Amino acid sequence: MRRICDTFKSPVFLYPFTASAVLSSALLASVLIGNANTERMAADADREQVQQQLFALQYRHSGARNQIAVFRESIRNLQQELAGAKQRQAAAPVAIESAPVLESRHVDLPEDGDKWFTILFLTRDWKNHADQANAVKLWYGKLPHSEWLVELKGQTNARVIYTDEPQFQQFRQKKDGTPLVSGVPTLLIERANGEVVYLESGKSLAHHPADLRKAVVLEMKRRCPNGQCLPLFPTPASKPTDGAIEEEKPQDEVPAVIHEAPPAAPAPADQKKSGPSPIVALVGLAAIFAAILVIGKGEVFASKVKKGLRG
Amino acid sequence: MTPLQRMLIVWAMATGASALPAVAPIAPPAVAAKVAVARRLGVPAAVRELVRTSKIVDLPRSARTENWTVRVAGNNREAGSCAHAALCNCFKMQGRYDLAEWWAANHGGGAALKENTSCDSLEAGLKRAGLDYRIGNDEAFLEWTCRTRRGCVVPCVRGEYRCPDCGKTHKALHAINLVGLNAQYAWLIGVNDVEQIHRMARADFIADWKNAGGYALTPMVGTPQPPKPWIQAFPQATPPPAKE
Repeated sequence: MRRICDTFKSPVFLYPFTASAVLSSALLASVLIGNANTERMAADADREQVQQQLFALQYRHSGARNQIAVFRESIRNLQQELAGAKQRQAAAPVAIESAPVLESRHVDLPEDGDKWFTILFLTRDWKNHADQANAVKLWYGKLPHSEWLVELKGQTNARVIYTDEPQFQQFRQKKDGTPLVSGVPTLLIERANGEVVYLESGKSLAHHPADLRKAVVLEMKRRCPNGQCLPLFPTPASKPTDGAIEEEKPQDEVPAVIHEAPPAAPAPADQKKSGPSPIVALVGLAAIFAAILVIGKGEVFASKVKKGLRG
Repeated sequence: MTPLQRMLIVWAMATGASALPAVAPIAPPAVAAKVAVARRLGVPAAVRELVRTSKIVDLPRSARTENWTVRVAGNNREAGSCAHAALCNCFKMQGRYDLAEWWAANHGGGAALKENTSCDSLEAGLKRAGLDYRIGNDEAFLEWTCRTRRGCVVPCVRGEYRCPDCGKTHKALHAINLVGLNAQYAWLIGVNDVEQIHRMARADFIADWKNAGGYALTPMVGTPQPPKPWIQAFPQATPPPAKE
């Protein structure tokens, strides 16, 4: 036993043991310190993140507060404007009364350049004429089965034109010897390019609104076959019935007049100018090949003659 | 084969190749293009003209408002009312003849346009009357007003004048109506010369318009003016023979 102890006490064994013990303790200490540092760094990172979140929340809150302040300011401005408008209205009642008041103000620009036009022609004293008064009732959907016209008006640019307005003159102009609008009341539906799709006038205009609708639908289909019509189809009725107008179709940029016009027959003079016909071209080619053969034979004959002369 | 034969064959093949399109069938896209051209040519010139001008707001001559002058209060001079007259034309283009009459009766004077600003007094008047309007300062806005057949009031430069108050030289602005605009031309109604619709190169008009401030105003008070009507004649369908 004592020998064993001596063996351990000997420097040969003691020094490496001591050294390894010191090293391992140092390693252990460094690992412990490292862990502590890592935990502290993680804690710092967490704290920083929390601080950032807190800052973001504060920023958002202040932004919201600013927005609320802006909204309050704009509300205050609008209230002031309203008060000013009321004052102005009180100061100038005549001007405001005679001017129409619009329901709302839009910021957008309506793209209604391709809308059709539905126009009713009347005289100023339409109230004194029963047929025109009936047409007005039809115009506003007050007659049975006339709701479709109100819908059509909603989908097109609807307008009442009186015969004494300067605007009426262009509708009176004769086209092919026929007056366009020959009397009142007249209902006219035209496309945005001016093509008249439907035109009916006379005392019986408002007598049969359902039949009038059918006639309008048929004429629209004739003018815009297979959807080849610009702009989109106005749909005069929401209820599907026989011969109802189709729903909205993809917009076709090609003008309908081009679709509907028959292909132009080429004039005889144009045909001559356009170039040789296929038969002429074939005959010409045949003549050229015949000439080649003749020339070839002639050259062969000449070479034979030359050989004969030499011989 | 002799060289002469070879040369003639080459020439014949070249000639044949040039004549080939007349003999051989044409590719489908080319056919479609030719048919389209033929159809386009099939449209009568009068109809083509009508379609071409369908986006020009042709306010009838008798409806065009001429410029009038008013005596400026507190000043011994008369001033034109070009901006108000042009605005009245816009009202009429939108079918509001009553509104045009009312405006002309209640407004006047030449203070409507200010250099390099918007048309302040017109705006103020429209706001006071509770009328809706749009103001734009780019070409897209001008195109929109013409595309939707509304027309608009635009300023233009008509020389210079020396202000008696400040002694400086300013541009003399004038208001007109823009009633049509395409890639090449602009169509204008001048309130001092309402006899005809004037056509001007688009580039010139835009340059002048921008020089005058480059803004435009259109009221939104009614339905745009309908275009000139025309009827496409259809061949009458022959009735089927009656059954015996």
